[in-house]
Amino acid sequence: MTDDKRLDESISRLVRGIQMDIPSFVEGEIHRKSDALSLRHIHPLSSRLFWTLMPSTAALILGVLLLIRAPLKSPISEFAEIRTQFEITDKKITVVFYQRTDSHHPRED
Amino acid sequence: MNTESDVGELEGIFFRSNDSPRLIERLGMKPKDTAAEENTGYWNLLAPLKTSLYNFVLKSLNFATDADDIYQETVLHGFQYFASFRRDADFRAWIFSIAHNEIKRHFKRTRKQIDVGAANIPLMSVPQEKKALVQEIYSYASGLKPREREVFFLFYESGFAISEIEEITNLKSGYIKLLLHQARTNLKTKLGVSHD
Repeated sequence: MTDDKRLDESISRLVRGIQMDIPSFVEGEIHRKSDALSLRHIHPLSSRLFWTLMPSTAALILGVLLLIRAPLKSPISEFAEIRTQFEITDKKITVVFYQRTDSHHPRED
Repeated sequence: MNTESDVGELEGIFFRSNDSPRLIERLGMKPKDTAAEENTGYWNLLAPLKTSLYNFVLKSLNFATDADDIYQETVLHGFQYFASFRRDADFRAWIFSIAHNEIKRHFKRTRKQIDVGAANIPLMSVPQEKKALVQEIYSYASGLKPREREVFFLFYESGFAISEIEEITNLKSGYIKLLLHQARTNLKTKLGVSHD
């Protein structure tokens, strides 16, 4: 165990024999990017604002769309005419019955 | 809108000192002063660890130039997520965990480009009489798998205990002990037991 400890210390000393400094451009880039992040105030909890507002905004937009859409929808048109058609093929006769909105039954007179 | 009574801002939305702190908290906003204090706190905690962190990343990546980017990503992610850091936790282990994740992600991304050959070891600063031994150590480390190399450097470079390495890497302590035992066995013969 003591041998292991001594060996570990020797390895550690040799490993730490190489120590590199952080390049200045890396430091500069970190400061530049962290400043940008600070300005934006990025915070993991800030996404809560998004998730709080997003569903209510979506519901609001949906409601507005439904309200706008309702009056735009064209009213159901009345039947202009009722038409029934059939053919007697062997005699090449086509019979068409139809009732127009302006028509009336003679008995109603 | 932006008056002296405004104490905080989030993406263009200002809130005032008399706004409910609970509302501010719920919306994930932080008063400007608190955010600035937190930022300063992060840089203060990081300052004494920077060189150690950089060297760990650099050595875990076999002195590849990508190490600069990985180190940068580590520091920026730490900065970005510092709010999630538990104040009673060990900052050193926390920031090295981020570095470990960044290294892992890097190797996942560049799986096919990993060069396991001899690393370009910068031996300039090493005394002449130790150069051969240092070369032996780093040649051994460069032949390890990325995960094993990380464990090796977390232990021998950064001085973490096995329990801390377990926490940082999520590896089992038994496996970490095995890796270190293998390293000792391999290096014992190369360095000589009597070396000090």
